[in-house]
Amino acid sequence: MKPTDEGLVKRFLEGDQNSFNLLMWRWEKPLYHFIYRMIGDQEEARDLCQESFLRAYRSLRGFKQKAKFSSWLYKIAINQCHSWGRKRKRARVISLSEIARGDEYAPREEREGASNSPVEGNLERREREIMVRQALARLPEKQRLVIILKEYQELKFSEIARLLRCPVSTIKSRLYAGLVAMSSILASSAVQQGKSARSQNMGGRQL
Amino acid sequence: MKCKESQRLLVSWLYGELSDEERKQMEGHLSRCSHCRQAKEKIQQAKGTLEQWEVEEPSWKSVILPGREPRWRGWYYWLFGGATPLRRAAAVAVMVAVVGLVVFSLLNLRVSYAGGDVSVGLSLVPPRSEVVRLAVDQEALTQERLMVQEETLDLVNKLMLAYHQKQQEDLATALQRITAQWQLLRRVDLEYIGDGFDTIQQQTYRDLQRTNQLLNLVLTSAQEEKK
Repeated sequence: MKPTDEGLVKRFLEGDQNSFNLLMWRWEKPLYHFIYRMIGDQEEARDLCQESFLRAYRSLRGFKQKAKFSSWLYKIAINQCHSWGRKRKRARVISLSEIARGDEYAPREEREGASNSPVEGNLERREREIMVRQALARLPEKQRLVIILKEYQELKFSEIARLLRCPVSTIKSRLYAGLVAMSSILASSAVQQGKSARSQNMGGRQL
Repeated sequence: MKCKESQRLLVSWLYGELSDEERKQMEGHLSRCSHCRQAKEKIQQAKGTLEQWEVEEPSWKSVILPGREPRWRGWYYWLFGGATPLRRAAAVAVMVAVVGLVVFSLLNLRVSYAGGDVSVGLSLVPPRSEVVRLAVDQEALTQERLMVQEETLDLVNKLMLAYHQKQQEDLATALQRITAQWQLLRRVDLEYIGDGFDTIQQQTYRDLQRTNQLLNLVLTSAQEEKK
């Protein structure tokens, strides 16, 4: 029988170091996905994910087990993303064209141009992903957070509410507002997509 | 039902978390409200787009390499974090002690002014009684003593005069003033007591004797007068 998260936490607190590794292997994928979707940068997401686990490791003794281990882990990750965003706002160098295009939050490899794009067959999928990612990046952080927690992490509304210390109704309203905003961003970018796709193709051929 | 509630129901519906009762409510509202009908399509569409973003599996697996963690965890941990009650109490005690010491030393701030120099002292220990040596101006002391003695003699003279004129009230007043003068003298002595204590004591003793003699004189003359 697979031990529960809480059982592993208990075993770790009793001195079994390997239990933490088991917890980490169990949660590394969802946590990485979560962070990546929040910040949209693979390398940074990997670092933040590791940092989150390190923080969890250091403060697991302080974990009161009132909440689920996963919620606690998400909370750490949310804080990490938040401080990453703040740091990023403070000082960085970006190209002027990014500001003009309004995708300051676009991930690095994309900003540098999709020169290292994989196989042609993936291109369409990749384009769709980029579209979603850019649309999400334009949402306010609170709405983005709720959308990602619900849509991709598949948390229950009550879990999200507890995690963010808000009433369930607030979470639902926020999700609603986020989805509506998302659809209008997608609608407006779909119009632009036609224009920019053509110009990008031409640019690609020139290179 | 208001649109605000319907929006929450729509979201629940989108993620399949709607009870039959709520579904009826929502459908009722949607049949009446075109705005919410449109919104329903919008969020459905948005969700459909979101579903298309798949993230690759992480290509790595992490392990923790346990090392020595720093012992200091920050005050927040000790006060509100996972420290045991005993440790937390110790943390509170340390904090109170530190704050207390700071406040205490501020309370014991001493500013002294001596000979044109201002000095500020901050001490953890409250100031104790201490002996301070003051420079005594012997000349001034002698002058003042002489003056007091002269005044005393003058008073005694006046006293005698007043007695001769049989003005009893003045006698009382004069006696009071003699007492006051002696009190003053005593205070001056105490102020200069740091130096030349013996001299002052001797002088005072002599002054006292002289005044006593004078008073005796007054008394005997008064008794003779009565007879």
